[in-house]
Amino acid sequence: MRQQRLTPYLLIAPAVLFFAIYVLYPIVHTCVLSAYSWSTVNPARVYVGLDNYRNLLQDPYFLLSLKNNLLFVVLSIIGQLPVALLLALLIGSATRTHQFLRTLVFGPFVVPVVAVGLVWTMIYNPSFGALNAILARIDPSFEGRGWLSDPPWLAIYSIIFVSCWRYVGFHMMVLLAGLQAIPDELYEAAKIDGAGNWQAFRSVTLPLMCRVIAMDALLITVGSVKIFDLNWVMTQGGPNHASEVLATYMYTCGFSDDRMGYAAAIATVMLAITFVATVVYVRVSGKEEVGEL
Amino acid sequence: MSRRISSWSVNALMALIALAFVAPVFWSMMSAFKTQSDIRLHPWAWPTRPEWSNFVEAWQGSMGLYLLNSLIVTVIAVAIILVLSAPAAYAFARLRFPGSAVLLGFILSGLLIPVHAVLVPLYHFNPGSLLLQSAAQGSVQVEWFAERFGDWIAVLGPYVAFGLPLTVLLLRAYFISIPNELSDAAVIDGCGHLTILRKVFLPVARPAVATAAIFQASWIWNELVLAMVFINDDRQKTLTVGLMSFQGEHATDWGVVMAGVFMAVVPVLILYFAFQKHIIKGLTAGAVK
Repeated sequence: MRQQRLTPYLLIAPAVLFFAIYVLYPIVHTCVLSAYSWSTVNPARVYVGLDNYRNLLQDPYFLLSLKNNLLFVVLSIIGQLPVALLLALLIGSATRTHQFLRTLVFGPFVVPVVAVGLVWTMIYNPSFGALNAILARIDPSFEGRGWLSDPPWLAIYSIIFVSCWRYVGFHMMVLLAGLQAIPDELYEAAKIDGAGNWQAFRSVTLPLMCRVIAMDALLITVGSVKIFDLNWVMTQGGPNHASEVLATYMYTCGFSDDRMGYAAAIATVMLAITFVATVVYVRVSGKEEVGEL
Repeated sequence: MSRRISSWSVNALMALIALAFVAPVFWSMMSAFKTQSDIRLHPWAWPTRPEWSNFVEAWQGSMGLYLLNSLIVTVIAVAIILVLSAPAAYAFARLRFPGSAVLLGFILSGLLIPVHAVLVPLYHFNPGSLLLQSAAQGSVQVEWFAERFGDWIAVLGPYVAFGLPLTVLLLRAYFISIPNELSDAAVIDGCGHLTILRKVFLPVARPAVATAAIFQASWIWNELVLAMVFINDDRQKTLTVGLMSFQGEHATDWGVVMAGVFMAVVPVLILYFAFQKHIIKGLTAGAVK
Protein backbone atom coordinates (compact mmCIF):
# COMPACT_ATOMS: atom_id res chain seq x y z
CA MET A 1 0.00 0.00 0.00
CA ARG A 2 2.73 2.36 1.03
CA GLN A 3 4.67 1.37 -2.02
CA GLN A 4 1.69 2.15 -4.24
CA ARG A 5 1.44 5.64 -2.88
CA LEU A 6 5.08 6.24 -3.69
CA THR A 7 4.93 4.82 -7.22
CA PRO A 8 3.77 7.97 -9.06
CA TYR A 9 6.56 9.99 -7.44
CA LEU A 10 9.16 7.42 -8.44
CA LEU A 11 7.90 7.55 -12.01
CA ILE A 12 8.17 11.33 -12.29
CA ALA A 13 11.28 11.73 -10.13
CA PRO A 14 13.92 11.34 -12.86
CA ALA A 15 12.32 13.95 -15.13
CA VAL A 16 11.53 16.40 -12.33
CA LEU A 17 14.99 16.13 -10.76
CA PHE A 18 16.75 16.53 -14.08
CA PHE A 19 14.67 19.57 -14.91
CA ALA A 20 15.22 21.07 -11.47
CA ILE A 21 19.00 20.61 -11.62
CA TYR A 22 19.51 21.89 -15.15
CA VAL A 23 16.81 24.56 -15.53
CA LEU A 24 15.11 25.75 -12.38
CA TYR A 25 18.09 25.90 -10.06
CA PRO A 26 20.28 27.69 -12.65
CA ILE A 27 17.51 30.22 -13.24
CA VAL A 28 17.39 31.12 -9.55
CA HIS A 29 21.18 31.14 -9.58
CA THR A 30 21.20 33.56 -12.52
CA CYS A 31 18.98 35.99 -10.61
CA VAL A 32 21.26 35.77 -7.57
CA LEU A 33 24.44 36.14 -9.62
CA SER A 34 23.06 39.28 -11.25
CA ALA A 35 23.58 41.05 -7.92
CA TYR A 36 27.35 40.47 -8.06
CA SER A 37 30.24 41.80 -10.04
CA TRP A 38 32.54 38.97 -11.05
CA SER A 39 34.37 37.30 -13.86
CA THR A 40 36.02 34.00 -14.70
CA VAL A 41 39.49 35.50 -14.38
CA ASN A 42 38.76 37.06 -11.01
CA PRO A 43 36.26 34.75 -9.35
CA ALA A 44 36.09 36.77 -6.13
CA ARG A 45 32.52 38.01 -6.21
CA VAL A 46 31.70 41.49 -5.08
CA TYR A 47 28.13 42.12 -3.97
CA VAL A 48 26.85 45.17 -5.84
CA GLY A 49 23.11 44.95 -5.22
CA LEU A 50 21.17 46.49 -8.08
CA ASP A 51 24.18 48.22 -9.63
CA ASN A 52 24.23 45.92 -12.64
CA TYR A 53 20.65 46.89 -13.41
CA ARG A 54 21.37 50.59 -12.90
CA ASN A 55 24.26 50.31 -15.32
CA LEU A 56 22.06 48.51 -17.82
CA LEU A 57 19.69 51.47 -17.90
CA GLN A 58 22.59 53.75 -18.89
CA ASP A 59 24.21 51.31 -21.27
CA PRO A 60 23.48 52.52 -24.83
CA TYR A 61 24.14 49.06 -26.29
CA PHE A 62 21.70 47.43 -23.90
CA LEU A 63 19.03 49.98 -24.76
CA LEU A 64 19.77 49.47 -28.43
CA SER A 65 19.38 45.71 -27.95
CA LEU A 66 16.02 46.23 -26.28
CA LYS A 67 14.96 48.47 -29.15
CA ASN A 68 16.10 45.90 -31.72
CA ASN A 69 14.20 43.14 -29.94
CA LEU A 70 11.10 45.33 -29.99
CA LEU A 71 11.66 45.99 -33.68
CA PHE A 72 11.98 42.25 -34.17
CA VAL A 73 8.65 41.63 -32.44
CA VAL A 74 6.74 44.33 -34.29
CA LEU A 75 8.16 43.74 -37.77
CA SER A 76 7.92 39.97 -37.42
CA ILE A 77 4.23 40.22 -36.56
CA ILE A 78 3.53 42.76 -39.32
CA GLY A 79 5.67 40.90 -41.83
CA GLN A 80 4.67 37.33 -41.06
CA LEU A 81 1.05 37.13 -39.94
CA PRO A 82 -0.66 38.69 -43.00
CA VAL A 83 1.60 36.81 -45.42
CA ALA A 84 1.15 33.57 -43.49
CA LEU A 85 -2.64 33.97 -43.46
CA LEU A 86 -2.68 34.84 -47.16
CA LEU A 87 -0.54 31.79 -47.97
CA ALA A 88 -2.74 29.56 -45.82
CA LEU A 89 -5.80 30.76 -47.74
CA LEU A 90 -4.06 30.63 -51.15
CA ILE A 91 -2.33 27.25 -50.96
CA GLY A 92 -4.22 25.62 -48.10
CA SER A 93 -6.22 23.03 -50.02
CA ALA A 94 -5.52 19.30 -50.18
CA THR A 95 -4.58 19.32 -53.89
CA ARG A 96 -1.15 18.00 -54.78
CA THR A 97 0.08 21.32 -56.15
CA HIS A 98 -0.86 23.10 -52.96
CA GLN A 99 0.66 20.42 -50.77
CA PHE A 100 3.88 20.62 -52.76
CA LEU A 101 3.95 24.42 -52.50
CA ARG A 102 3.39 24.21 -48.74
CA THR A 103 6.32 21.82 -48.51
CA LEU A 104 8.50 24.40 -50.28
CA VAL A 105 7.29 27.34 -48.17
CA PHE A 106 7.89 25.37 -44.96
CA GLY A 107 11.28 24.26 -46.28
CA PRO A 108 13.46 27.07 -44.86
CA PHE A 109 12.22 26.13 -41.40
CA VAL A 110 13.93 22.72 -41.57
CA VAL A 111 17.20 24.08 -42.98
CA PRO A 112 19.64 24.48 -40.06
CA VAL A 113 19.66 28.10 -38.84
CA VAL A 114 23.41 28.45 -39.17
CA ALA A 115 23.13 27.38 -42.80
CA VAL A 116 20.31 29.86 -43.41
CA GLY A 117 22.42 32.62 -41.89
CA LEU A 118 25.42 31.80 -44.06
CA VAL A 119 23.28 31.50 -47.20
CA TRP A 120 21.82 34.97 -46.68
CA THR A 121 25.13 36.49 -45.64
CA MET A 122 26.34 35.48 -49.07
CA ILE A 123 23.20 36.76 -50.80
CA TYR A 124 23.65 40.11 -49.04
CA ASN A 125 27.36 40.28 -49.87
CA PRO A 126 28.17 43.76 -51.25
CA SER A 127 30.41 42.73 -54.12
CA PHE A 128 29.11 39.39 -55.38
CA GLY A 129 25.81 38.77 -53.56
CA ALA A 130 22.76 37.75 -55.55
CA LEU A 131 20.70 40.65 -54.25
CA ASN A 132 22.98 43.40 -55.51
CA ALA A 133 23.50 41.50 -58.75
CA ILE A 134 19.77 41.73 -59.44
CA LEU A 135 19.19 45.23 -58.12
CA ALA A 136 22.17 46.71 -59.94
CA ARG A 137 20.54 45.74 -63.25
CA ILE A 138 17.58 47.92 -62.37
CA ASP A 139 19.49 50.71 -60.64
CA PRO A 140 23.30 50.79 -60.78
CA SER A 141 23.47 52.65 -57.46
CA PHE A 142 22.88 49.33 -55.68
CA GLU A 143 26.29 48.16 -56.80
CA GLY A 144 28.37 47.40 -53.72
CA ARG A 145 25.67 48.12 -51.16
CA GLY A 146 26.36 46.42 -47.82
CA TRP A 147 23.03 45.14 -46.57
CA LEU A 148 24.59 44.01 -43.29
CA SER A 149 27.01 46.85 -42.71
CA ASP A 150 26.41 50.09 -44.55
CA PRO A 151 24.61 52.02 -43.15
CA PRO A 152 24.90 50.15 -39.83
CA TRP A 153 21.23 50.52 -38.91
CA LEU A 154 20.24 48.60 -42.04
CA ALA A 155 21.68 45.34 -40.67
CA ILE A 156 18.87 44.60 -38.22
CA TYR A 157 16.24 45.06 -40.93
CA SER A 158 18.10 42.74 -43.27
CA ILE A 159 18.23 40.12 -40.50
CA ILE A 160 14.55 40.52 -39.65
CA PHE A 161 13.71 39.95 -43.30
CA VAL A 162 15.60 36.65 -43.28
CA SER A 163 13.87 35.66 -40.06
CA CYS A 164 10.46 36.33 -41.65
CA TRP A 165 11.48 34.33 -44.71
CA ARG A 166 12.46 31.42 -42.52
CA TYR A 167 9.47 31.36 -40.19
CA VAL A 168 6.54 32.40 -42.40
CA GLY A 169 5.99 28.80 -43.53
CA PHE A 170 5.78 27.68 -39.92
CA HIS A 171 3.12 30.27 -39.12
CA MET A 172 1.28 29.38 -42.32
CA MET A 173 0.94 25.84 -40.94
CA VAL A 174 -0.21 27.08 -37.53
CA LEU A 175 -2.88 29.30 -39.09
CA LEU A 176 -3.87 26.56 -41.54
CA ALA A 177 -4.62 24.26 -38.62
CA GLY A 178 -6.91 27.00 -37.29
CA LEU A 179 -8.59 27.47 -40.68
CA GLN A 180 -9.25 23.75 -41.03
CA ALA A 181 -10.98 23.74 -37.64
CA ILE A 182 -13.69 26.07 -38.99
CA PRO A 183 -16.71 23.92 -39.88
CA ASP A 184 -17.68 23.94 -43.59
CA GLU A 185 -21.35 24.45 -42.70
CA LEU A 186 -20.59 28.03 -41.73
CA TYR A 187 -19.27 28.82 -45.20
CA GLU A 188 -22.23 27.07 -46.79
CA ALA A 189 -24.61 29.07 -44.64
CA ALA A 190 -22.81 32.28 -45.65
CA LYS A 191 -23.08 31.30 -49.32
CA ILE A 192 -26.81 30.63 -49.00
CA ASP A 193 -27.15 34.06 -47.43
CA GLY A 194 -25.57 35.43 -50.60
CA ALA A 195 -22.14 36.31 -49.21
CA GLY A 196 -19.24 36.57 -51.66
CA ASN A 197 -15.72 35.33 -50.96
CA TRP A 198 -14.61 38.54 -49.32
CA GLN A 199 -17.75 38.78 -47.19
CA ALA A 200 -17.40 35.18 -46.10
CA PHE A 201 -13.79 35.89 -45.16
CA ARG A 202 -14.80 38.94 -43.12
CA SER A 203 -17.81 37.50 -41.38
CA VAL A 204 -16.75 33.87 -40.90
CA THR A 205 -12.99 33.42 -41.21
CA LEU A 206 -11.63 36.48 -39.43
CA PRO A 207 -13.82 36.40 -36.30
CA LEU A 208 -13.25 32.67 -35.81
CA MET A 209 -9.53 33.01 -36.46
CA CYS A 210 -9.11 35.86 -34.00
CA ARG A 211 -7.92 33.71 -31.14
CA VAL A 212 -5.59 31.60 -33.25
CA ILE A 213 -4.06 34.75 -34.73
CA ALA A 214 -3.62 36.29 -31.29
CA MET A 215 -1.94 33.15 -29.99
CA ASP A 216 0.33 33.02 -33.00
CA ALA A 217 1.26 36.68 -32.50
CA LEU A 218 2.27 35.90 -28.93
CA LEU A 219 4.25 32.90 -30.13
CA ILE A 220 6.15 35.26 -32.43
CA THR A 221 6.66 37.67 -29.52
CA VAL A 222 8.14 35.06 -27.21
CA GLY A 223 10.29 33.74 -30.04
CA SER A 224 11.55 37.21 -30.89
CA VAL A 225 12.70 37.86 -27.32
CA LYS A 226 14.91 34.79 -27.51
CA ILE A 227 16.24 35.43 -31.02
CA PHE A 228 19.98 34.74 -31.20
CA ASP A 229 21.15 32.42 -33.96
CA LEU A 230 20.54 34.48 -37.10
CA ASN A 231 22.00 37.64 -35.56
CA TRP A 232 25.02 35.79 -34.31
CA VAL A 233 25.74 34.03 -37.61
CA MET A 234 25.14 37.06 -39.84
CA THR A 235 26.66 39.98 -37.90
CA GLN A 236 27.53 38.84 -34.34
CA GLY A 237 25.54 41.90 -33.28
CA GLY A 238 27.64 44.31 -35.34
CA PRO A 239 28.68 46.51 -36.97
CA ASN A 240 29.55 48.23 -33.70
CA HIS A 241 26.54 46.67 -31.88
CA ALA A 242 24.07 48.07 -34.45
CA SER A 243 22.22 44.75 -34.84
CA GLU A 244 22.64 43.66 -31.23
CA VAL A 245 19.70 41.94 -29.51
CA LEU A 246 19.42 40.97 -25.84
CA ALA A 247 20.61 37.40 -26.42
CA THR A 248 23.68 38.37 -28.45
CA TYR A 249 24.60 41.18 -26.08
CA MET A 250 24.23 38.85 -23.11
CA TYR A 251 26.53 36.33 -24.79
CA THR A 252 29.09 38.99 -25.70
CA CYS A 253 29.13 40.50 -22.20
CA GLY A 254 29.45 37.13 -20.51
CA PHE A 255 31.58 35.03 -22.78
CA SER A 256 33.67 37.56 -24.76
CA ASP A 257 34.07 40.40 -22.23
CA ASP A 258 33.94 38.09 -19.19
CA ARG A 259 31.50 40.27 -17.24
CA MET A 260 29.51 37.42 -15.76
CA GLY A 261 27.39 39.36 -13.27
CA TYR A 262 26.39 41.84 -15.94
CA ALA A 263 25.49 39.03 -18.35
CA ALA A 264 23.40 37.40 -15.62
CA ALA A 265 21.51 40.69 -15.20
CA ILE A 266 20.70 40.78 -18.94
CA ALA A 267 19.58 37.14 -18.77
CA THR A 268 17.31 38.04 -15.85
CA VAL A 269 15.76 40.85 -17.91
CA MET A 270 15.12 38.37 -20.75
CA LEU A 271 13.53 36.00 -18.28
CA ALA A 272 11.27 38.74 -16.92
CA ILE A 273 10.12 39.79 -20.40
CA THR A 274 9.41 36.16 -21.33
CA PHE A 275 7.48 35.72 -18.10
CA VAL A 276 5.24 38.70 -18.82
CA ALA A 277 4.64 37.52 -22.39
CA THR A 278 3.78 34.06 -21.07
CA VAL A 279 1.24 35.40 -18.61
CA VAL A 280 -0.43 37.33 -21.43
CA TYR A 281 -0.27 34.21 -23.62
CA VAL A 282 -2.03 32.08 -21.02
CA ARG A 283 -4.67 34.76 -20.52
CA VAL A 284 -5.38 35.04 -24.25
CA SER A 285 -5.20 31.35 -25.08
CA GLY A 286 -8.12 30.89 -22.73
CA LYS A 287 -9.06 28.83 -19.75
CA GLU A 288 -10.31 25.70 -21.51
CA GLU A 289 -6.90 25.08 -23.01
CA VAL A 290 -5.08 25.66 -19.75
CA GLY A 291 -7.52 23.32 -18.05
CA GLU A 292 -6.64 20.70 -20.63
CA LEU A 293 -2.94 21.09 -20.04
CA MET B 1 -11.36 35.01 -71.34
CA SER B 2 -11.19 36.58 -67.90
CA ARG B 3 -11.20 33.08 -66.51
CA ARG B 4 -8.08 32.28 -68.58
CA ILE B 5 -6.33 35.39 -67.37
CA SER B 6 -7.11 34.61 -63.78
CA SER B 7 -5.94 31.01 -64.07
CA TRP B 8 -2.76 32.27 -65.73
CA SER B 9 -2.17 34.79 -62.96
CA VAL B 10 -2.84 32.17 -60.29
CA ASN B 11 -0.22 29.92 -61.85
CA ALA B 12 2.23 32.80 -62.04
CA LEU B 13 1.59 33.58 -58.38
CA MET B 14 2.18 29.96 -57.41
CA ALA B 15 5.44 29.91 -59.34
CA LEU B 16 6.50 33.14 -57.65
CA ILE B 17 5.79 31.71 -54.19
CA ALA B 18 7.82 28.60 -54.99
CA LEU B 19 10.66 30.70 -56.36
CA ALA B 20 10.79 32.97 -53.30
CA PHE B 21 11.45 30.07 -50.97
CA VAL B 22 13.64 27.91 -53.17
CA ALA B 23 15.80 30.36 -55.12
CA PRO B 24 17.91 31.71 -52.21
CA VAL B 25 18.96 28.25 -51.10
CA PHE B 26 19.41 27.06 -54.66
CA TRP B 27 21.57 30.02 -55.65
CA SER B 28 23.98 29.61 -52.74
CA MET B 29 24.16 25.85 -53.18
CA MET B 30 25.17 26.50 -56.79
CA SER B 31 28.11 28.54 -55.54
CA ALA B 32 29.49 25.43 -53.88
CA PHE B 33 30.28 24.17 -57.40
CA LYS B 34 31.97 27.36 -58.58
CA THR B 35 35.53 28.59 -58.49
CA GLN B 36 36.50 31.69 -56.52
CA SER B 37 36.73 33.84 -59.64
CA ASP B 38 33.44 32.48 -61.03
CA ILE B 39 31.70 33.50 -57.82
CA ARG B 40 33.19 36.98 -57.91
CA LEU B 41 32.83 37.73 -61.60
CA HIS B 42 29.59 35.93 -62.51
CA PRO B 43 27.40 35.71 -59.42
CA TRP B 44 24.37 34.61 -61.44
CA ALA B 45 25.94 32.29 -63.97
CA TRP B 46 25.92 28.51 -63.84
CA PRO B 47 29.25 26.98 -62.89
CA THR B 48 31.38 26.85 -66.04
CA ARG B 49 32.30 23.33 -65.02
CA PRO B 50 31.53 21.71 -61.65
CA GLU B 51 34.32 22.47 -59.20
CA TRP B 52 34.72 19.57 -56.78
CA SER B 53 37.72 20.96 -54.94
CA ASN B 54 35.39 22.96 -52.67
CA PHE B 55 33.89 19.73 -51.38
CA VAL B 56 37.28 18.14 -50.93
CA GLU B 57 38.35 21.09 -48.83
CA ALA B 58 35.12 21.07 -46.83
CA TRP B 59 35.56 17.40 -46.09
CA GLN B 60 39.16 17.98 -44.99
CA GLY B 61 37.91 20.87 -42.84
CA SER B 62 36.17 18.16 -40.75
CA MET B 63 32.63 18.77 -41.96
CA GLY B 64 32.18 15.00 -41.97
CA LEU B 65 33.26 14.79 -38.34
CA TYR B 66 30.89 17.61 -37.34
CA LEU B 67 27.98 15.82 -39.02
CA LEU B 68 28.82 12.58 -37.24
CA ASN B 69 29.17 14.39 -33.89
CA SER B 70 25.79 16.09 -34.33
CA LEU B 71 24.22 12.76 -35.17
CA ILE B 72 25.65 11.11 -32.05
CA VAL B 73 24.72 13.95 -29.69
CA THR B 74 21.21 14.26 -31.15
CA VAL B 75 20.48 10.52 -30.93
CA ILE B 76 21.75 10.25 -27.34
CA ALA B 77 19.87 13.35 -26.19
CA VAL B 78 16.57 12.33 -27.80
CA ALA B 79 16.87 8.81 -26.35
CA ILE B 80 17.43 10.16 -22.82
CA ILE B 81 14.58 12.66 -23.24
CA LEU B 82 12.16 9.88 -24.20
CA VAL B 83 13.33 7.54 -21.43
CA LEU B 84 12.86 10.24 -18.78
CA SER B 85 9.62 11.69 -20.20
CA ALA B 86 7.61 8.52 -20.80
CA PRO B 87 7.23 7.37 -17.15
CA ALA B 88 6.55 10.94 -16.03
CA ALA B 89 3.93 11.46 -18.76
CA TYR B 90 2.37 8.12 -17.80
CA ALA B 91 2.13 9.08 -14.13
CA PHE B 92 0.70 12.51 -14.93
CA ALA B 93 -1.85 11.01 -17.34
CA ARG B 94 -2.95 7.88 -15.51
CA LEU B 95 -2.29 8.13 -11.79
CA ARG B 96 -3.86 10.40 -9.22
CA PHE B 97 -1.51 11.68 -6.55
CA PRO B 98 -1.28 14.74 -4.34
CA GLY B 99 0.79 17.53 -5.88
CA SER B 100 0.50 16.25 -9.44
CA ALA B 101 -0.87 19.54 -10.79
CA VAL B 102 1.89 21.56 -9.14
CA LEU B 103 4.64 19.22 -10.33
CA LEU B 104 3.25 19.19 -13.87
CA GLY B 105 3.08 22.98 -13.90
CA PHE B 106 6.65 22.99 -12.60
CA ILE B 107 7.92 21.01 -15.60
CA LEU B 108 5.72 22.75 -18.16
CA SER B 109 7.05 26.14 -17.03
CA GLY B 110 10.13 25.16 -19.02
CA LEU B 111 8.26 25.45 -22.33
CA LEU B 112 9.00 29.13 -22.74
CA ILE B 113 12.20 29.67 -20.76
CA PRO B 114 15.06 31.01 -22.90
CA VAL B 115 18.25 28.93 -22.68
CA HIS B 116 20.18 32.16 -22.10
CA ALA B 117 18.70 32.25 -18.60
CA VAL B 118 20.82 29.24 -17.55
CA LEU B 119 24.06 29.92 -19.44
CA VAL B 120 26.10 31.73 -16.80
CA PRO B 121 25.52 29.38 -13.85
CA LEU B 122 25.79 26.22 -15.95
CA TYR B 123 29.05 27.45 -17.48
CA HIS B 124 30.62 27.69 -14.05
CA PHE B 125 28.83 24.84 -12.27
CA ASN B 126 27.79 22.21 -14.76
CA PRO B 127 26.56 19.17 -12.78
CA GLY B 128 27.66 16.71 -15.47
CA SER B 129 31.16 18.16 -15.74
CA LEU B 130 31.58 18.41 -11.97
CA LEU B 131 30.53 14.79 -11.55
CA LEU B 132 32.93 13.72 -14.26
CA GLN B 133 35.77 15.74 -12.73
CA SER B 134 35.38 14.22 -9.30
CA ALA B 135 35.13 10.75 -10.81
CA ALA B 136 38.30 11.37 -12.83
CA GLN B 137 40.40 11.79 -9.69
CA GLY B 138 42.76 8.87 -9.79
CA SER B 139 41.15 6.97 -12.63
CA VAL B 140 43.02 7.08 -15.91
CA GLN B 141 40.09 5.70 -17.90
CA VAL B 142 37.63 8.28 -16.61
CA GLU B 143 40.19 10.99 -17.16
CA TRP B 144 40.59 9.91 -20.77
CA PHE B 145 36.82 9.78 -21.16
CA ALA B 146 36.45 13.27 -19.66
CA GLU B 147 38.99 14.67 -22.06
CA ARG B 148 37.54 12.92 -25.08
CA PHE B 149 33.80 13.35 -24.37
CA GLY B 150 33.56 15.87 -21.52
CA ASP B 151 32.08 18.66 -23.64
CA TRP B 152 29.29 16.39 -24.77
CA ILE B 153 28.50 15.45 -21.16
CA ALA B 154 28.32 19.15 -20.34
CA VAL B 155 26.02 20.04 -23.24
CA LEU B 156 23.77 16.98 -23.01
CA GLY B 157 22.46 18.09 -19.60
CA PRO B 158 20.70 21.24 -20.78
CA TYR B 159 19.73 19.58 -24.09
CA VAL B 160 17.82 16.89 -22.21
CA ALA B 161 16.39 19.23 -19.58
CA PHE B 162 15.00 21.69 -22.13
CA GLY B 163 13.57 18.81 -24.17
CA LEU B 164 11.57 17.36 -21.29
CA PRO B 165 8.64 19.82 -20.97
CA LEU B 166 7.19 19.52 -24.48
CA THR B 167 7.83 15.76 -24.62
CA VAL B 168 6.01 15.21 -21.32
CA LEU B 169 3.17 17.42 -22.57
CA LEU B 170 2.79 15.59 -25.91
CA LEU B 171 3.03 12.07 -24.47
CA ARG B 172 0.70 12.88 -21.61
CA ALA B 173 -1.96 14.23 -23.96
CA TYR B 174 -1.78 11.02 -25.98
CA PHE B 175 -1.78 8.74 -22.94
CA ILE B 176 -4.94 10.42 -21.63
CA SER B 177 -6.75 9.61 -24.87
CA ILE B 178 -5.97 5.86 -24.65
CA PRO B 179 -9.10 3.99 -23.49
CA ASN B 180 -8.94 2.23 -20.12
CA GLU B 181 -9.92 -1.13 -21.61
CA LEU B 182 -6.51 -1.38 -23.25
CA SER B 183 -4.62 -1.28 -19.99
CA ASP B 184 -7.21 -3.08 -17.84
CA ALA B 185 -6.17 -6.51 -19.06
CA ALA B 186 -2.57 -5.82 -18.17
CA VAL B 187 -3.58 -4.54 -14.74
CA ILE B 188 -5.57 -7.72 -14.08
CA ASP B 189 -2.54 -9.78 -15.10
CA GLY B 190 -0.72 -8.00 -12.31
CA CYS B 191 1.74 -6.11 -14.47
CA GLY B 192 3.64 -3.22 -12.89
CA HIS B 193 3.34 0.32 -14.19
CA LEU B 194 6.59 0.21 -16.12
CA THR B 195 5.53 -2.99 -17.86
CA ILE B 196 2.15 -1.49 -18.78
CA LEU B 197 3.89 1.59 -20.07
CA ARG B 198 6.30 -0.43 -22.18
CA LYS B 199 3.94 -3.11 -23.45
CA VAL B 200 0.67 -1.19 -23.85
CA PHE B 201 1.08 2.59 -23.82
CA LEU B 202 4.26 3.22 -25.76
CA PRO B 203 3.38 0.95 -28.71
CA VAL B 204 -0.04 2.60 -29.02
CA ALA B 205 1.41 6.09 -28.62
CA ARG B 206 3.96 5.67 -31.42
CA PRO B 207 2.68 8.70 -33.38
CA ALA B 208 3.14 10.95 -30.33
CA VAL B 209 6.57 9.49 -29.65
CA ALA B 210 7.56 10.16 -33.27
CA THR B 211 6.23 13.72 -33.12
CA ALA B 212 8.14 14.46 -29.93
CA ALA B 213 11.32 12.82 -31.21
CA ILE B 214 11.25 14.79 -34.47
CA PHE B 215 10.72 18.07 -32.65
CA GLN B 216 13.53 17.50 -30.16
CA ALA B 217 15.92 16.10 -32.77
CA SER B 218 15.42 19.15 -34.95
CA TRP B 219 15.93 21.49 -32.00
CA ILE B 220 19.15 19.84 -30.89
CA TRP B 221 20.48 19.49 -34.45
CA ASN B 222 20.03 23.27 -34.87
CA GLU B 223 21.04 24.44 -31.40
CA LEU B 224 23.84 26.98 -31.41
CA VAL B 225 24.38 28.91 -28.18
CA LEU B 226 24.66 25.99 -25.74
CA ALA B 227 27.04 24.30 -28.15
CA MET B 228 29.11 27.49 -28.39
CA VAL B 229 29.39 27.75 -24.60
CA PHE B 230 30.08 24.11 -23.79
CA ILE B 231 31.87 22.60 -26.79
CA ASN B 232 35.41 23.90 -27.25
CA ASP B 233 37.21 20.73 -28.21
CA ASP B 234 37.57 20.52 -32.00
CA ARG B 235 37.01 16.78 -31.95
CA GLN B 236 33.64 17.20 -30.23
CA LYS B 237 32.21 20.12 -32.19
CA THR B 238 28.70 19.62 -33.52
CA LEU B 239 27.44 20.85 -36.87
CA THR B 240 26.39 24.36 -35.82
CA VAL B 241 29.57 25.36 -34.00
CA GLY B 242 31.58 23.42 -36.55
CA LEU B 243 30.06 25.41 -39.42
CA MET B 244 30.76 28.64 -37.54
CA SER B 245 34.43 27.89 -37.03
CA PHE B 246 34.65 26.49 -40.56
CA GLN B 247 33.30 29.78 -41.88
CA GLY B 248 35.78 31.64 -39.69
CA GLU B 249 38.67 29.76 -41.27
CA HIS B 250 37.45 30.24 -44.83
CA ALA B 251 36.00 33.71 -44.38
CA THR B 252 36.67 34.89 -47.92
CA ASP B 253 36.37 31.59 -49.71
CA TRP B 254 32.62 31.38 -50.16
CA GLY B 255 32.72 28.41 -52.49
CA VAL B 256 34.23 26.29 -49.73
CA VAL B 257 31.87 27.71 -47.09
CA MET B 258 28.88 26.89 -49.28
CA ALA B 259 30.23 23.38 -49.88
CA GLY B 260 30.18 22.99 -46.09
CA VAL B 261 26.65 24.41 -45.94
CA PHE B 262 25.66 22.06 -48.77
CA MET B 263 26.86 19.06 -46.78
CA ALA B 264 24.89 20.26 -43.76
CA VAL B 265 21.70 21.04 -45.65
CA VAL B 266 21.29 18.25 -48.19
CA PRO B 267 20.86 15.33 -45.72
CA VAL B 268 18.24 17.35 -43.83
CA LEU B 269 16.37 18.22 -47.04
CA ILE B 270 16.39 14.58 -48.21
CA LEU B 271 14.89 13.51 -44.88
CA TYR B 272 12.38 16.35 -45.11
CA PHE B 273 11.11 15.44 -48.57
CA ALA B 274 10.94 11.76 -47.63
CA PHE B 275 8.97 12.27 -44.40
CA GLN B 276 7.45 15.71 -44.95
CA LYS B 277 4.06 14.96 -43.37
CA HIS B 278 5.55 13.63 -40.14
CA ILE B 279 8.19 16.33 -40.00
CA ILE B 280 5.76 19.22 -40.50
CA LYS B 281 3.47 17.72 -37.88
CA GLY B 282 6.35 17.21 -35.48
CA LEU B 283 7.77 20.69 -35.86
CA THR B 284 4.47 22.50 -35.44
CA ALA B 285 3.50 20.32 -32.47
CA GLY B 286 4.52 22.89 -29.90
CA ALA B 287 2.26 25.56 -31.39
CA VAL B 288 -0.79 23.71 -32.65
CA LYS B 289 -1.34 21.74 -29.45
